[in-house]
Amino acid sequence: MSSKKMITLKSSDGRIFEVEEAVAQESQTIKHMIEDGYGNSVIPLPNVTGRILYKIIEFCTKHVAVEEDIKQKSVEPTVVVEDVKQKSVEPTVVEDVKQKSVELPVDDDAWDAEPSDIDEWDAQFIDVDESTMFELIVASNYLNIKRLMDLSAQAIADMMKDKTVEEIRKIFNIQNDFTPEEEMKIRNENSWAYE
Amino acid sequence: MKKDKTWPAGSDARHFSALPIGISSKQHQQQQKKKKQQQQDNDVDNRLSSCQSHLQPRSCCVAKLHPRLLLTNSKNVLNQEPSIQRLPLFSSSLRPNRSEFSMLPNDVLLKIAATFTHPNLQSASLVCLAWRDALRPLREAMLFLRWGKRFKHGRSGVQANLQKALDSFLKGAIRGSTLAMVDAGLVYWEMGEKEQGISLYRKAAELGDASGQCNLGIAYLQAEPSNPKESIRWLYKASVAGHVRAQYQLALCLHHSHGVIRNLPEAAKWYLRAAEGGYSRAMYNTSLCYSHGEGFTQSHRLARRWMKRAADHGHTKAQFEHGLNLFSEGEMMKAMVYLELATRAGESGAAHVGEVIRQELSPSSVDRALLLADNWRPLLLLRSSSH
Repeated sequence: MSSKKMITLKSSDGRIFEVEEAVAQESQTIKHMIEDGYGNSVIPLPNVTGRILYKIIEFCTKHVAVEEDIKQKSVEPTVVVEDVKQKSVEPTVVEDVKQKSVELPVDDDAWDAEPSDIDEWDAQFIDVDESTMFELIVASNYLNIKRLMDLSAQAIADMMKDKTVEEIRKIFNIQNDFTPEEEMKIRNENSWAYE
Repeated sequence: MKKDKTWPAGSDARHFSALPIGISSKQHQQQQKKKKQQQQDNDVDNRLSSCQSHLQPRSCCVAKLHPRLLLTNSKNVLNQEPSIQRLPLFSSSLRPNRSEFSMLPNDVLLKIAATFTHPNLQSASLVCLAWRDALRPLREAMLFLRWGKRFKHGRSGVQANLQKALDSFLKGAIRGSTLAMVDAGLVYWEMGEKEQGISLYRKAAELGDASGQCNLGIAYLQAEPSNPKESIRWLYKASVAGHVRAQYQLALCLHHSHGVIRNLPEAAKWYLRAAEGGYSRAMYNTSLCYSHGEGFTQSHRLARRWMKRAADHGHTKAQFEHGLNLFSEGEMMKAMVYLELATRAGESGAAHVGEVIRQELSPSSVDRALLLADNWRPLLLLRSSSH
């Protein structure tokens, strides 16, 4: 593998980004464009600003790297393919716990240090102001990047959960445009929600 | 900023809007005038540049064209001329909202709210008109969810009917509610249609539903052939999200090398999390971990504390153990209460010890102990979601 194919992307404000093909293909939208033969010229993304595109590329680059890392581990020490047929996986712990002598060496690294690390990274990545959050989710929807979509959707959902209507409006800076009648209507229709 | 009037006087010049159904043109004009005034009052210059995006139509009708065609770059210095594609064919509201978030595309908002319980959905629906409109399918899903539960459990004068329950849940599921997906999956699983069940759990899991993830993880364990790797992956996700049952299940897998290398410190950690979440079996196992120094540093104090908690939450073996602890500490009456509870729940060992204690106690103490046992109720303290 000599040099990797690079894809050129252009943001709405004219910034040019060169990325590896694998990274670009994290976006299904771009992937289809490449498959349709547009991979050799500059791909314009009129709906994504340079600032957001930069972040998106950062995200995709990181995840592609993590994937490759996982693939390179030829032996997967974490998988013990046991035929777990017992319907209730609930042992009487008393016996098991006492068998100290039959303990396998505990390899802390082997058990998926990655998910925790990447989850940490993701959490930090998505810790942004709501304006950026909005742009990220809209752009990842347009570019069809599943992982980023999922991450940002989850983050936004978490911001909304268990909050009052006013709190939600405040967080996302949304104006109340209900008339009192419209508001009553919805409240009444769904009053059983709180039963 | 240009304000060409492209529509007869009275309308908001910044976008086309047709008269909505149910409102007279006079009212429309009045509303527009009012809104215009309001907007002039509210205009601040640092909002002007981002105003470009607010000239856009409401997300509800925007989505009907195509989300891709309608995004605009609010930070766009080059000030593109609004193209025809961006203008709505009609607007369901006359009151443009200033926030970007009110203009999330419909499918995006539905995805965000997919895992919402009804109260949360209700709140979200009341935030602004655009969200109300976008979230309608999910509100409908809630209705079907309610019917499904009635059919499943035979409530509110409805006769239990598993097939009807499934039909209702499926109707909720196709409208995008993960709660309905999980319930449908449960019914399929009950009916023996494991493939279908897994497929629905998977849909819910991928939308971020922790119960879906937990059930998917357990299903992969129980499937034939089992898929331990996927099982762990999903149990882990649900556990991190705080799902108590998943945390317990994950701990079990770590403890017994199901799909992972045995890892006692991690197992103990997850038992503890689940215990703190209120799961009595996890409390019991946590106690044992402390008692034997498995995964935790040995601590009889903490072992005892967790055993008592497990007992108080109704764990039968824990009631026996705790009864024994109390006995060895000389607390006869209390010991008898717990041993009596354990006996009644079927622990034969507890009956024997209980007999021994009875000899030691006065008849009135025995009566008191039995009365306490009669009136005892388990603590129910599930703090996070679990099935």
